[in-house]
Amino acid sequence: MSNVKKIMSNRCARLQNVTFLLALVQTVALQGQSVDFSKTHFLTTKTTITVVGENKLVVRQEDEIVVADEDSKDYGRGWVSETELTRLKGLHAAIYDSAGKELTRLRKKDIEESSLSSGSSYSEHRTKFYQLRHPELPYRLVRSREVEYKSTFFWPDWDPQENVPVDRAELQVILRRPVAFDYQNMAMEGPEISEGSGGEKWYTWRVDNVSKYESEYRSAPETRFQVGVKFRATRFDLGGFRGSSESWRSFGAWFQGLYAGQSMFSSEVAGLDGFSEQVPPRERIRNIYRNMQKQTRYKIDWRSIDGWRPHHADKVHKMKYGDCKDLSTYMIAMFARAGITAYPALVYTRDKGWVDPDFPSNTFNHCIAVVPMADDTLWLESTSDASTIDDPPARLEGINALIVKPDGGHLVRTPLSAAEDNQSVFTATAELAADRSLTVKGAIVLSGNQAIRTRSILTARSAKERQDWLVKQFSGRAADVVCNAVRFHHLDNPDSSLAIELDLALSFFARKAGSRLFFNPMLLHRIDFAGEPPVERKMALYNRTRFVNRDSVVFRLPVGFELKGSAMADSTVSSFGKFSFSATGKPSNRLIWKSAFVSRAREVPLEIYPEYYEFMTAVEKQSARKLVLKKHSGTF
Amino acid sequence: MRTHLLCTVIVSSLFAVLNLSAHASDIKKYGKVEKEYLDMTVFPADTTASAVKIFDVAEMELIYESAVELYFTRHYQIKILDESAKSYADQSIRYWHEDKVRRMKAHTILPNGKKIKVKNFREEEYKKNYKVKKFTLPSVEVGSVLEIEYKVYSKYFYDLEPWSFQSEIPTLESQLSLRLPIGFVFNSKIHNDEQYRRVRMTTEEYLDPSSRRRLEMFIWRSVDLPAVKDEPYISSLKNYRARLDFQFSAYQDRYQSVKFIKDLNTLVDEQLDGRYGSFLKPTGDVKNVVAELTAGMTSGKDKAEALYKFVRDELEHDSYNAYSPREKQDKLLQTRKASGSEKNLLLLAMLRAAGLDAKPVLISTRGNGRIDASVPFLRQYNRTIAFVKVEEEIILSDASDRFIPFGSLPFSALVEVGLILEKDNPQFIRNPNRGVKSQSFVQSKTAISQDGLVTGTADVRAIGYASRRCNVEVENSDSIEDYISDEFAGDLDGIEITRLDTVLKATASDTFKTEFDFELPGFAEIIDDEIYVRPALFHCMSKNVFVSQKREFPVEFGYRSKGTELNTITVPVGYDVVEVPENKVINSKYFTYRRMVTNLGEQLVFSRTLELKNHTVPATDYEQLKHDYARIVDADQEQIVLRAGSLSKNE
Repeated sequence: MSNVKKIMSNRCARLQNVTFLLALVQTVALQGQSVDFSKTHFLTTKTTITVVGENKLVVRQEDEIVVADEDSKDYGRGWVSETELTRLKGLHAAIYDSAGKELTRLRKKDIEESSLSSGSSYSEHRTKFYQLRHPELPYRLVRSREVEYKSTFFWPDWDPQENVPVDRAELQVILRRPVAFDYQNMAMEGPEISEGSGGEKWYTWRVDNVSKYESEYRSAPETRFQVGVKFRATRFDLGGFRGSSESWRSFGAWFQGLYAGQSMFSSEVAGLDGFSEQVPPRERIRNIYRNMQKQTRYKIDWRSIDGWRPHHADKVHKMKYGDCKDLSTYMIAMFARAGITAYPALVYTRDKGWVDPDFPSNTFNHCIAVVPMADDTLWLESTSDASTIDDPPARLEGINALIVKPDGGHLVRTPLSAAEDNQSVFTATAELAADRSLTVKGAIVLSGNQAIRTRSILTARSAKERQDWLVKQFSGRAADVVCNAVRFHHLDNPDSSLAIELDLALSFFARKAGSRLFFNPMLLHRIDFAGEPPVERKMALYNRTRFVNRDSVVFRLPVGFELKGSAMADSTVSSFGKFSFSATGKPSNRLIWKSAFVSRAREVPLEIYPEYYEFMTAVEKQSARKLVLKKHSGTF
Repeated sequence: MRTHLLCTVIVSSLFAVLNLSAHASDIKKYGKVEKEYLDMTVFPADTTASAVKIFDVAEMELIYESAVELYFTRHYQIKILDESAKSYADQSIRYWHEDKVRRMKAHTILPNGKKIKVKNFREEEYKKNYKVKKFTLPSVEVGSVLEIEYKVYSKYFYDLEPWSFQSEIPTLESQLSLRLPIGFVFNSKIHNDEQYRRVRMTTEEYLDPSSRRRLEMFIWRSVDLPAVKDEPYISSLKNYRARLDFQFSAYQDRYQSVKFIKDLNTLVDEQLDGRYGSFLKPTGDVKNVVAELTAGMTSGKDKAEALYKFVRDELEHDSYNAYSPREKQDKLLQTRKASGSEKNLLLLAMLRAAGLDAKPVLISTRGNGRIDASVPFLRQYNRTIAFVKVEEEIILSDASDRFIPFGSLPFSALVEVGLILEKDNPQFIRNPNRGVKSQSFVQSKTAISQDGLVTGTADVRAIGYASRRCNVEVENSDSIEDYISDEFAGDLDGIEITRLDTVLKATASDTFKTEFDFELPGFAEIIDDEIYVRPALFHCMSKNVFVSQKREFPVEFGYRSKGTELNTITVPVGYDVVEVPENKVINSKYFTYRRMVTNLGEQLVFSRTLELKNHTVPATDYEQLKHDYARIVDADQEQIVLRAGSLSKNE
């Protein structure tokens, strides 16, 4: 060994007194095995879930990782957030060279603490974290962490897949006491069930050669969990609130217990008048909903039972802010005061996952309010200033929602809007000048999910930022885009379509090819599809919403030019939708361009993905088509 | 009677106290909003503003009794004009973890004048470093005024916080006042106000209760300040916001006279005495390491390079950002972990151990703002780099970036001025940002087929910062194929890489090269009987990087760069070239663009060069720059037209 390394290794040679069992484990693991140090991979990952009772769960995770590149040094980061319901029991880590010699290890003083919440949100927690790295690659990182949860409510799923290959993964569930639980295997076998010497039951799952996770274009979120085990404790106790997930009804009953009493205004609360029962119920609901949108703000402030219990409606009324369950609870209280019956509903928004109706569990990430009407049900998003009572955002459509009523939970599928409900219609006149610049005057009218999304973006921006946003929608079409004027209609009124009147100047819009000019007439609604070829695709695809985009532009061409080729029209049709276009030359140098793209595919299972791929690549190609103008004579 | 006298004394004292504290609060009374601001629906001077700071006033007071304490009081009001500004209701006040925040109060003043108080102030802490007071103002609506006041107590008086007069929203009034006890001397400097001279300094007398003497309070005030917002291609907003900085200079009383930093010499002394200065004397362990690393070398430059590489590669980088070290030399060697400045200080020790002429240099990294060489303010620096002179050549080194070779500086450290710390001889070193610091070159051979497929081979080279960028991307990519696709795809939808350099690895080198084969299905578009194809593949702008119509501040590209692309295109058999783009040259004060296409019959040769001649463009030339970039985008998108078996003349 060179003197340099000797000096440095001597400095690192101080051993701690604390017994480190993993040091023994790793020695045993290495015996007789050849380890591939050429690329980063997990040699082993082991999770042990020890269930002590309904109020105590200890989760220990131990990993042994070959780190072979700089990026993978991030595996040397570890953290645990402690709350009133979770406690860190141990954090360990050490790094060994390829010969098994210890290079460095985590010491107590290396573990740092922070109680910072992200951004403006607030949650009561204390995060302990560390970072252990070594300059020389490759090396072997051995790390473990042990966390105690004060409730089986937090029983974690087991997902051993990582962004690098995993050679061997193991899960062990040890029941120290009989606790009712259920599991669901995801693409694996098991468990092996055995009994320990103390009478505890052991459940063991093992899987070898887990391939690395590779993200895909618009993958359906639930398909990202590819291998592992899902769990639920059929009975649990969270902060004194006992519950059951034997059924959706029982789980809903538990949430009802948390929520009960929080949605009733006390008599002292003022400022709740003005929602007369003379007004028809739907209008009353609309008025209350709009009032709430104007007056309240979304803000996270988690303190009670790790953020599961909503704040009281009195408090939200006073502060005028809260998270989704606070604002939903508040809205329900307002409805009650106005004589309208409403309930909270727990959901897992479509952009994040999917509730399996056959596996009741605490799988939710959001709370909304539901109003059953005589001939309809209203699904009310309390955190959006852009949606309406008739039009919830796309992430609430077509999902399983757990409506929580006094008699418990009821799992119901929310409706899915039709493509025609979500339109973006662009109508304009466009003058193409001899210098190839284009002046565009027209309007974009948005409805449904398209309006909700655009409103959400624009209301969060200042006037100048809105203008910049509009310019960016067109900036791929020309070398320079200048906004001469823009007006936003009904930006603050979600009950009307959103209309954007625009007057733009696009420099160098038409490109040159000698005496020809060419341009793509799809000024606004360009179609981009980056899906993997079918042979490579592994996950189902998910589109945010069904929609229709229409373009209707009358181009006035410069004098002396004509459209090359005759009038054209074409369409691509399938069960996933339709794209059609037409370009018609007219007298006085006019060209009328019309296109329409109807997208009906919300979810595309893997089995039919090849057909979808074929449809979308054809549509993309058609939408990128150029129109060519030829000058009658001379060069341009 | 005695009682009457006692009351009079108490009342007089009370009056005196009220008179003393009148300066702190008579400027703005908490809870009072001028009607014109409460009624305001749009800010006339900037109708696009979503909010306005009505006032932002602060007072710093040093009090010296048994010990010195700093009291900082701040009071501000924000008027909400637009929905998008409601986020100002979420406030976070950050402060040093040993300081104490007292008398924090806040409320929302509704348009009808009603006030709703904040009752809950939460505290969070990051490491044992700083704390944050978080709170949300309730019931915020458009038209509300948010009002916040708080006081911070600190025992750290020598490092007064800078005061920024401007923010991302317009400010109607900004003021800082400073009260110092007798004997304390601070230097102050106003930055970024040379052009408009908006900040005025005045003084006011007041009665100091402890000395019972009339002293001067210093007041800096500015009104009607426009917003300073971030824009693309800007190094740091600190270079543009009007700001006031302080530095503790001296203390004197009848018993003692203590000088801190009053000029460069005292600044150097302050730095070099202590842990920082210990790096000028290499330890035994450092000497041993140096001897091992430089064994057999005779050239000073070779030694310097070997030591630089060792520090750069053998110590893990820690993101702690300051010019001073936390640990000593031997500890850094032991733990093999160091911040950027610690690495450079260790390098300094090693260079000196090798007998080389090496000194520490203080800089302010690009993101930290430019330094003002006219003031000896220590706080304006945030990194130490190493100066070494070998064989009459001066080399500045910053070993914090794994991909920067010896002799170059990371982009963050590419600044024009640094301060060499040398006892009795401090001086500034100029490092003019001249010359092309980044070059990229792609040479391709492509062939077009009749069905629109383009196939080809590309040879890529990069030098300087372009090389660094390529190496970083190689390092961060999951595979070499991903790197090539992501790096070179641009707007080349559907590019397929059919051959690549499988042994490509990220290195710290000033040059980078690789090659690959590719296919672009459908890249050449077939329209009727013609094929349209864009000859520019990789170095091609498809949209203008400048979107805003106006610009407040200079465009800072950071360094001069040059990109060249050559593409030899083979025409499909049986096809003639019908249209070829005319050669284009755009020559401006700031860049040169040349694009040429030469028709050789069966082949076309395309070449494109874009060279930045100047790395900074003043805001007054922004419109022209934007227009010129639009011309480049237009030229890059021009197409070649081919037709099957027809005349080869232009029509």
